[in-house]
Amino acid sequence: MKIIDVNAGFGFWPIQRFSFSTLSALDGEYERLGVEEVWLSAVESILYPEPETYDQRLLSAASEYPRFRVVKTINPLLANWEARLRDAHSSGILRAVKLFPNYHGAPLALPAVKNLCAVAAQLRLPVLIQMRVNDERNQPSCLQMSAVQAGEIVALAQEAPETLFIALAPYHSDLKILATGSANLLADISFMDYSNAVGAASRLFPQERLVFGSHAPWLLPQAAVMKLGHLEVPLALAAKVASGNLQAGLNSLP
Amino acid sequence: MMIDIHTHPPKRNLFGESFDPEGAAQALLAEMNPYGISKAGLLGNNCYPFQTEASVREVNDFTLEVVRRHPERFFGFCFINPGNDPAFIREELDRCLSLPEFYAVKLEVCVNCRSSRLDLVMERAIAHRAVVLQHSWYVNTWEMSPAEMKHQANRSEPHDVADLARRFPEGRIIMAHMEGCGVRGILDIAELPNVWVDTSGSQPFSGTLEYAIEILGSERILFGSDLLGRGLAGQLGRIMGTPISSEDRQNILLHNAAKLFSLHLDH
Repeated sequence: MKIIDVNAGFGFWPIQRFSFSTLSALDGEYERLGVEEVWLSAVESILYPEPETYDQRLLSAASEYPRFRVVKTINPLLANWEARLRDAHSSGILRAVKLFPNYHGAPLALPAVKNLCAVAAQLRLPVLIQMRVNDERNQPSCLQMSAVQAGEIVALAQEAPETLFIALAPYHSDLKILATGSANLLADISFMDYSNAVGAASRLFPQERLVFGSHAPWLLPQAAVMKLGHLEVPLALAAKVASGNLQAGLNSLP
Repeated sequence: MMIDIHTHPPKRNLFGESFDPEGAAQALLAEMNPYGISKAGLLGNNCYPFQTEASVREVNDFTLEVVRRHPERFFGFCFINPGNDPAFIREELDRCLSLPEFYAVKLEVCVNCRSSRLDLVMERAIAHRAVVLQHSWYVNTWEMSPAEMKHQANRSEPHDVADLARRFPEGRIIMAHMEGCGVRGILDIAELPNVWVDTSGSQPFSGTLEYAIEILGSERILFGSDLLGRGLAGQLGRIMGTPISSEDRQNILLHNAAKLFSLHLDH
């Protein structure tokens, strides 16, 4: 079963000690777990308005690891985001673009976000929307950040039907809302943490739109892999979530 | 072989139908068996604060029935609301802790554990040689609704658990929810050898377990999942997916709980 992790990062986060803090260690862990392809974005790009510095460093370092595909963080408030995106795309290992709307103060309703969706569709790159990076209950009081509202993602996906979206790190409660979205909206399983997480998620959300995400290095990737192996998850469903649904989504891009 | 010290027998199934004790046991066993969990501590099927005497007794009677049906797989925690009448608390603790099915006491968010209302609970637990588990979390309440805030009003944070442990050095206390307690919570109890921490809480975030081992030693860490509110893939994945030694992993998954609760493992 081929597993593609669409929700992973690499770098330094000031309020967490990651278990895997080098690319080599992260690559080794994915090798151990049998995850074939990992979509990696730069962790530090979340915390600065200009993602370019850390994105470039990641682009350079990750190119040594065939398993890693780089995801470019976009801050649509910057005037030259499109030029930077096209530059990165020319590298050939760019797999997707990622938005952190609340960290960058760039709501999904901004006209620039719609422009970005159009460019991403033209480049055949999915748009990943990170709903949260941690448990809001555990955030230090001076570093509070709300989650992205599922309804905003649903609205954007409906307005940009040519673009493939993946909502990253939704809770079960978010899935109910995301389920009302259009077929071009997928969601990952990284924050699904109930018994038989995949089965429970597939009761709330169309199972052909669920994809594998670990949210490493914040979360441990083995936990996500173990969700696929739950006894009550039929092998066919596990295979779809592992990579089949994603491949179908990518194939649907115009 | 593994021991999960932090589980809850479910009240209802997926269709909203109430579980009887056997149904709850089977729901837990269906999760435990594929992962090789030999034994689980049952913390009660009601985690909400402000429980009445009647509802406290109901929770404990349910736990008792589940354990009696499968004593080789479960052991019970006596749920107590320290805000209830002291006479009732004494009676309920003595009733439960005199039974072979109960090994420990479970305290939720009913009363902050710095309160003198905890004194009676600790005295009876110590007299019965029972472990006390205190729900604990450095919870950020900024996005909570008024109802949730009311729920959390009397919660205990790790520094409160540390205070309780200092007041009762002969007591054995589990600070629940390592991930909710975080790095600061681990430091709060570092110098208190009568406090253990269970690994439950939130998602399987990386880094916290290694830090707990570094500061506390793996001997003071117990595997807890918070099943069925959480899943074993995530919660066991937290232990299996953290780069630690096999000795530390075995301590956390088995040896520490067996020793702390004097559990006989014949499954």
